[in-house]
Amino acid sequence: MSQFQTFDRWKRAVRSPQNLVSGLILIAAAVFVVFMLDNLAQGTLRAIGPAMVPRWTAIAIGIGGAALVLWGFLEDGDALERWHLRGPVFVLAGIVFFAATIREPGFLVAAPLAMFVTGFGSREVRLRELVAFAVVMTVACAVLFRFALNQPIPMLVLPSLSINF
Amino acid sequence: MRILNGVIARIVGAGIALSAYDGVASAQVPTYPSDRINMTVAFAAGGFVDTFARIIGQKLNEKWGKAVTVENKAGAGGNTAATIVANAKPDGLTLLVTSTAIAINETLYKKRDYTLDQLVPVAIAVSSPETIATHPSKPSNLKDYLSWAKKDEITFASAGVGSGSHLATEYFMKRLAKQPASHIPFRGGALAVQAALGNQVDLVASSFGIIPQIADGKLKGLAVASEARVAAMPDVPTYTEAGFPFVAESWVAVIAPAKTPPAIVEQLNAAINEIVNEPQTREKLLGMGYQLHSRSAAQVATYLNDEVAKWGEMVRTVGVTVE
Amino acid sequence: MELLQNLGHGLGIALSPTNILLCFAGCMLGTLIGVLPGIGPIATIAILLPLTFGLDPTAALIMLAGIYYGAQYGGSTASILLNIPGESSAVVTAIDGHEMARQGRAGIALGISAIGSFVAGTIATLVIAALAAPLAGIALIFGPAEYFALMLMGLAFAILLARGSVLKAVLMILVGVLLSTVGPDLTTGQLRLTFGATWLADGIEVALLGMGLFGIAEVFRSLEHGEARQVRETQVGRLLPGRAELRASAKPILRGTLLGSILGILPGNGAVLAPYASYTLEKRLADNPRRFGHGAIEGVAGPESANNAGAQTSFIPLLTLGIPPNAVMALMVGAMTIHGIVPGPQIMTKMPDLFWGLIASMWVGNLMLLVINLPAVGLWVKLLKVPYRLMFVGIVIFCCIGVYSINNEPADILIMGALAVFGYGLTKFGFEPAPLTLGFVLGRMMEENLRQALMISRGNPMTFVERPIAAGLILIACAMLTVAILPVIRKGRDEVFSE
Repeated sequence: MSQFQTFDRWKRAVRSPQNLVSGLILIAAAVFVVFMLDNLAQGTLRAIGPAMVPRWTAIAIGIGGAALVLWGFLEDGDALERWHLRGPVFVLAGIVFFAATIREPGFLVAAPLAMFVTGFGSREVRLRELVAFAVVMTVACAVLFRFALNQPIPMLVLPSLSINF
Repeated sequence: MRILNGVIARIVGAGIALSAYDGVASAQVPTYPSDRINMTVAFAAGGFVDTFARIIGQKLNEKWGKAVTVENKAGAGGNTAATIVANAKPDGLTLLVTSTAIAINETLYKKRDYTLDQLVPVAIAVSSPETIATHPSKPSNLKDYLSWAKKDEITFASAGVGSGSHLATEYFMKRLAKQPASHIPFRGGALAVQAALGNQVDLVASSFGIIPQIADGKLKGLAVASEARVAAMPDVPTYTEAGFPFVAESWVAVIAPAKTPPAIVEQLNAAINEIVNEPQTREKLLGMGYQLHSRSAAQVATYLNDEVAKWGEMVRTVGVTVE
Repeated sequence: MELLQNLGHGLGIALSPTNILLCFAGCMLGTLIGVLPGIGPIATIAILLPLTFGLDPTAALIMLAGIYYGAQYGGSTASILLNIPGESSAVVTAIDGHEMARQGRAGIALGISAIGSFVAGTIATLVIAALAAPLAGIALIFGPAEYFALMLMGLAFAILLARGSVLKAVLMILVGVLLSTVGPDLTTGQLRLTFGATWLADGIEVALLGMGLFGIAEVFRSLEHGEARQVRETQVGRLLPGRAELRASAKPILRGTLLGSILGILPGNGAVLAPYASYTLEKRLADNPRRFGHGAIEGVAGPESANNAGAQTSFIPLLTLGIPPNAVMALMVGAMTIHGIVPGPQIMTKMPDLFWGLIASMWVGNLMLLVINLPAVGLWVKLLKVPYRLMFVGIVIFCCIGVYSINNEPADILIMGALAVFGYGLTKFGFEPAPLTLGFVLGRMMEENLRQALMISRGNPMTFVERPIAAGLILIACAMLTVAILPVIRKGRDEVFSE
């Protein structure tokens, strides 16, 4: 029971959850960076080493993050905002598919696939329209980038059929 | 028109390909190039390596009627592009265009994802000697400069750590002139030249990038590391003339995957040498301060080996490595 | 008098029918390709370079200049319409420009951007023609110590760039600086913060930052609201700026031109600062700074003019010293080389036709932009009528292609995706990405110049005080910081700046 009470008291003490959480994230990031820079030399003023600027920048970020945390208790601010997942998830999936398939089997597969997946990021997605759009855009981009602009984007690479276009 | 030419070339090419099966021996590979040639440039668009690739690409396209794409694949000091070409299909359709970096990196980089055995050099047709220059307010010949500098450690600017200019100059200072010098790396040769123009550093080391400023008298050339003086700056003596026998040149190389048929390598070598020696191109390159070399494929291979050894020695003397 | 004669001579060359046609074609193609998300001026010039191969050097340069201006303007168009800045200068334009587009004032934003660019281009052309040689000498006073001070001042500007809390803006700048240190260290070649990943081994491209933090993150935000967000679909509004808008923009355009012209001369890429400096200045001078970030026309007019003026005067170090101040100019050097021209001090005396022809064509190029783009504004705005459920798919695919074409590296596409999530997160926590971008752009230069300055001074930090220009710039930076922080200390700032 008492656990809930303390939690509740904490929750009331937090006056700006947004600042508190972002401050904590920044502190964590700063600690991580300082840790990752461990193997690099700081150098001297005459010959500044590779670690000096990033390390002190990270330390400053950490201090700033601490100030944000403090702020979160002292002053009223915004609550945490809701993250909407549908858009980012589908768009990111599309981006990942594109990155994974652009080299092989190439643009003619990567582009329509990525566009088809991405399209579901919108709640208003209309299947037939999206497919038509993806096909038209693929052809248009292929013509534009590969033929009009002579860009080295692989179009269709199928080693098993020894197609390399 | 170009498309039409391409179609004609393809039809004619197919015809020759068929006739080749009749058992007619030929020095050339009649079907090469069978398709689009991709030149992978080891550096970002805009530098001389890139420009050279574009000149060659354009001329090869005119010559053979096949599209030539130039793909910039900068990264890891040129190693990214070398790795890609090292693992590419050895059909002569994927070529690497890179610089002295390919010889330097053999010793400079602790780790690479390719070995030089996976590649075969096709042509090294243009070069430019490493040059040092200083602000006109400072002593204007190497001897006077060194006796002026002896007092103190000097600063010299270059295009970056491990660049040919950095290595050649630090090697010269350390080994030949015995002059303490601290290297100040800049992001690219242009900014290094700027620092010298503004008299912010004592010396600047660069190759072709420095010629316009020397020719105009905005900088004083102290020495060029070539066998003979450079036509575009005839007043600048060679290191040898100044009493320090030392040659170090930066060049542009066209390289293919190792298993590329020798006939294709020969054909490309001949074509590139021919392009570089076309009167118009020749004049442009010489005007910019380049030196031209017509080397056969075999000579190029020997030259590259010598260069790997030479730059390796400089890298070890300077004592620098890159991850 | 000699100036007018020279300019007249140049115009005679630039205005030959062939050259006008080439300039027009260059501007047109440059705009069309530059408007594609992710294809910035560098990529556009590289793509279109082969078109100039067959031309004589002067004609080729005139066409290239046209392509360059076209690409610049195309980039602004993409960032105003879709919030996809392909380079750091367009980030500033996007802040208020895209906001204007969302309010149905896309046409006005595009129009004022074209007009401002033209005015800035005209003035900057005159500056180059009259003062190129003397200004080049001044630029050389700037050494690493001065550049460091200048970058520091730029970061102080960035604090005023933000809409909300000062603390958060400072933090964003620092995060930007930190991101800029990822990759190989310039002085030692050691890798920093790359976690052993080869695809981080060369650092992060600024174009990725623009497309991820702004372009795709904006898509995420828009998708939250569904078609309801489509104000723009129903209401496109007036197409061109009216008299009141022109009057409001006149002074920002002139001030932006002045700032851009000065910063563009610096060979160390001072021009990147220009749009940011102009934005800050306009926000400071405005009667009601709260409008900034919510579609203030001055926030488009000033930075766009500053950017174009800077783009123009950055030809000065190239033509007089042979020093390309940025990547675009380096590519121009490459293009000139192909035509057998070695840009450098001699160009003005040895090839007067080329020199004055190029300068005159700069102005012609700017005129072409206006001629092409004012009528095209309607067309661009129509693009916004594509339903968003399809539009965002197009944005995403163009960003993917654009990122891939920078270095042909699929991992870059993934980095863009990660940055997009990061950008989306930033807005959820009340941070803004614009100061981060400036921190990123200036951070790397600042570190490098700091280290070079200290190496040259043999470790003596007094170099920043003893050199008058450096000291002056640092003083201004401190003053800016005080101006930004004082109201917070007095607790008044929140009422002035936050909403």
